[in-house]
Amino acid sequence: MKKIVTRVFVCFMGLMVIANIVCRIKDSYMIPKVVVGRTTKGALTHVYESNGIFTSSEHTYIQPQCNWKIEKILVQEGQMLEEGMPLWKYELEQLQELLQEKQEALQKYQIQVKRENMAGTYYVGVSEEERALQQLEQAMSQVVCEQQWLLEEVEKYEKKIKEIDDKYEKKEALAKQNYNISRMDELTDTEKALLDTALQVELNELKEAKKQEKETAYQEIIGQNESLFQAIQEMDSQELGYQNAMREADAQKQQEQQEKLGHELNIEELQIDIIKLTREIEQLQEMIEAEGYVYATENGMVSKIELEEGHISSGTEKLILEKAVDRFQFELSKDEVGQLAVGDVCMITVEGKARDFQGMITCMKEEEDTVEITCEEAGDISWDGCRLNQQGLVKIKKKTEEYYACVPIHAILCKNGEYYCRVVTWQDTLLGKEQIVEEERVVIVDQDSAYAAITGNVHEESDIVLEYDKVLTRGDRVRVVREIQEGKEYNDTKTEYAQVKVKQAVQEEMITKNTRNFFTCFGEMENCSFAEKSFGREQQGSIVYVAGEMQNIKEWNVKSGTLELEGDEKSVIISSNLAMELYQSYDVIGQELVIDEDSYYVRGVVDEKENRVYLSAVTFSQEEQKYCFTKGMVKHNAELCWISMKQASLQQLQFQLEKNSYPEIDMIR
Amino acid sequence: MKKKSEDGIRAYWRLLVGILPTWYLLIVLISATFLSIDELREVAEGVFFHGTELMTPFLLPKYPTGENISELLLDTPGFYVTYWNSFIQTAVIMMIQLVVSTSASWAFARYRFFGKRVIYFLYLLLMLLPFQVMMPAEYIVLDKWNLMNTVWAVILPAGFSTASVIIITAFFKEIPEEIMEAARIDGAGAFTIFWRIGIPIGRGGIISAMLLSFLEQFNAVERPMNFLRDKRLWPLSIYLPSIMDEKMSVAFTAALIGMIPCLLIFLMGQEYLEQGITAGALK
Repeated sequence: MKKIVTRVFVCFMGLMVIANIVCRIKDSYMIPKVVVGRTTKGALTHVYESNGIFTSSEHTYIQPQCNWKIEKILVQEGQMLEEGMPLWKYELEQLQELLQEKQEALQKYQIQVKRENMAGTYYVGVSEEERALQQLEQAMSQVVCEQQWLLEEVEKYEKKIKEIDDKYEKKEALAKQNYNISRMDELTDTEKALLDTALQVELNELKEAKKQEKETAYQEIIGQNESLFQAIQEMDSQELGYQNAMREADAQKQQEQQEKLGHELNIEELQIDIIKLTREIEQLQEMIEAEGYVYATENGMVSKIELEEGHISSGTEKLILEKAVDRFQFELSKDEVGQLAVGDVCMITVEGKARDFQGMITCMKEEEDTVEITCEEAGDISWDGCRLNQQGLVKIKKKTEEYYACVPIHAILCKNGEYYCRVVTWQDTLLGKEQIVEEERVVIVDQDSAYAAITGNVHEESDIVLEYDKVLTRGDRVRVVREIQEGKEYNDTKTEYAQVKVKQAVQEEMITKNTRNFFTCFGEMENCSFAEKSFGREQQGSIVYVAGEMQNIKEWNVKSGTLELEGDEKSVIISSNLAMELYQSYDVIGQELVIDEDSYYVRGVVDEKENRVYLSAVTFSQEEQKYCFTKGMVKHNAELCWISMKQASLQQLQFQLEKNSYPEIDMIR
Repeated sequence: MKKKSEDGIRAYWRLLVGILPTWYLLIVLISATFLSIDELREVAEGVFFHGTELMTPFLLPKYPTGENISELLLDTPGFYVTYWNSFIQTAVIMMIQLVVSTSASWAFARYRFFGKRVIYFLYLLLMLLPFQVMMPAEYIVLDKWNLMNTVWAVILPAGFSTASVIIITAFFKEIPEEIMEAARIDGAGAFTIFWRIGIPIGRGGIISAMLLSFLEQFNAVERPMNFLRDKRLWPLSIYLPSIMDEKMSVAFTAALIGMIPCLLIFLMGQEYLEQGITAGALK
């Protein structure tokens, strides 16, 4: 018994030693290896990219004739036109009918003009009332003459009265002088009294004589004109009657004049109508001679056609013809615009052109959610080679101010909408001093496609994890295989990263040219079950198969991890709701998810209320990947399929669909 | 005869009832080793997962799994560090004790010197004093000698433990004086008598003292916890509580595997251990 126990003990200890060795070897192999670096000073370069079209600032509007029926439109929107090219054709029969109608109408108008002319002559001549008025005017002028004469006579009478007064004043003065001389000769009192009385009598006689003479003068001058006064009074009374008669005559005259004017206006109107009709008839005749064709009067591109075939034109529709290219227009969302400003230089890439065109932003117009940006030609290369409405990819690079702490963007982790940097710290553990990954919260101040400027708990001495070979979680032990120091090496690495980015961009462009990533195609399969192994939780939901880039589907709110799915058939991105239901956390990167007995690994969590899993639909060979976006759907038997486009035009998509003709695609976003 | 069988049945019943809680604990420990984390959460959510419900009694796992064992043995290198720390520290302690305790015990058992009884009483007193009482004094001494946070802070105080001296002394006292006299007549010196007669005859006591010391030191918690800050030096006994937060299901497995060497060593030295305990008890 003792021996057995001893053997068991020895075996147990031997087993522990072996297990220890295996464990350390495995640990050494499995420990995540990381490359760390430190924050660096520098400016970021924002690259703005968008698709846009070449346009023209000059437009010509061509409108059809009102009430003419358009038989056929001979141009299409976007078509380039040269002067003399037919635009549309009117229906000849309708034009001939119209011509006949117009000619008949013209004849009617001409007859009506004659009628109006005849009616206007009746009112030529002078009325009786007008003559009476003339007589009254004559009589009035006579009375005025007589009144003037009468005034002259009154003046004469007044003059004579004055002469009489002077004459008798002199006589009275003479009498008084005689009386005074008599007194001086010393007459008696009786004689004096007699003389006084005689003087008094003489004066009275003179007064009487003066009075009689005045009356005689009055009778001579004024009395003779008494009949004239009476005539004037009669004339005054008659004037009122004449004035009434005149008023009536004036009113009648005005009425007659209005009627006459009405006729004249009618004639003018008729004449205008006649001119118009004549012109229309001429146009109709010209159009009939041209067999109904309307031709372009100058070179340009048809940008809009409001005309419709088989419809009678209302005259308001128009065909817009744009002239030479002088602008490039594109849109960016308000969030994307950032620091772009008028005056920034942009490069426009046009498919099929060897060199890029340079432009300069001249106008930024804010819409509801977007900003419409207009560029105009700048630089050496002329835009003459570009067509109107031609698509182009505009790229604008703009440097920001210098930031104190910049890190590569892939060193930043997003969890629950907050950003973290993984930092390696030395910690005492059971195995001694070990390097442990911690997650430090940071705030992204600004970012471009490769770098982000950050603030927060990361300082200059922090070893930030830049690269890692395994999924890391907080508290993981890691081994630093390379430490990128500040200065040249870091800059070299930065350049290296930049080169990698450029390389990726070139690859993406190449892929895009091979029509692969023009579209992001995704289809949804409902009623799928998802399971989580550790706790055995199960949930129902839908699977969305994505061929292309997740970013193209919609704007995502990433709770944790990444949105990269393409080409990795064992990775999944899950909705936040599903993450909570299965794992009780959003921090589930690297967790295993079982779908129909197949294991997948969570690479990202996106904010969604439904239970949804996003899977890569690209599971084909390199050759097949070209058309994977449709074949992927067929393989996975997804019930619905949408296509989201980032860079492709509708024509390109249609071309692709025709080439493959897959019926699953029923909606285009 | 009938009365004897009735007494036997009663004795079995008493034994069964008396050790039932112990057996249950052992069963739970073994069962928990094979529990999956889901099942463990189910039965012990209130205890280990900050839940509100109390622990549900259980005997056997519904879905036994070996993933805890594989995780502990293959994915937890820290476990081995503490495991070997425990062995090494215990082995050194035992070696020191072997030298110091055997010599001291021989002196107490076989020599007469001034103050022997007083010193022996002090040894007894030190054995009876609990660690909590001794800790400040130990701390001051270790700190003075700059031994804090080193393995010697655990090894030295335990190496000079008085309990094994008491046990071994009891065994040495059992050696008949005549054998000693005979040896002296044959010309054996003091060391030869100790080495050739004392050690072989008192082997049972020495082994039992060492076994008891192993069991005590392998499972010692207080001293390492108080005197060792560096995790690299931790023994298995304080690794187990620390792993509870991180890997709950693995903790039971670690406890079980940590128990195996003690169990095997106990079985190997069971005979001597019983003698030692008896000798210690008699004295």
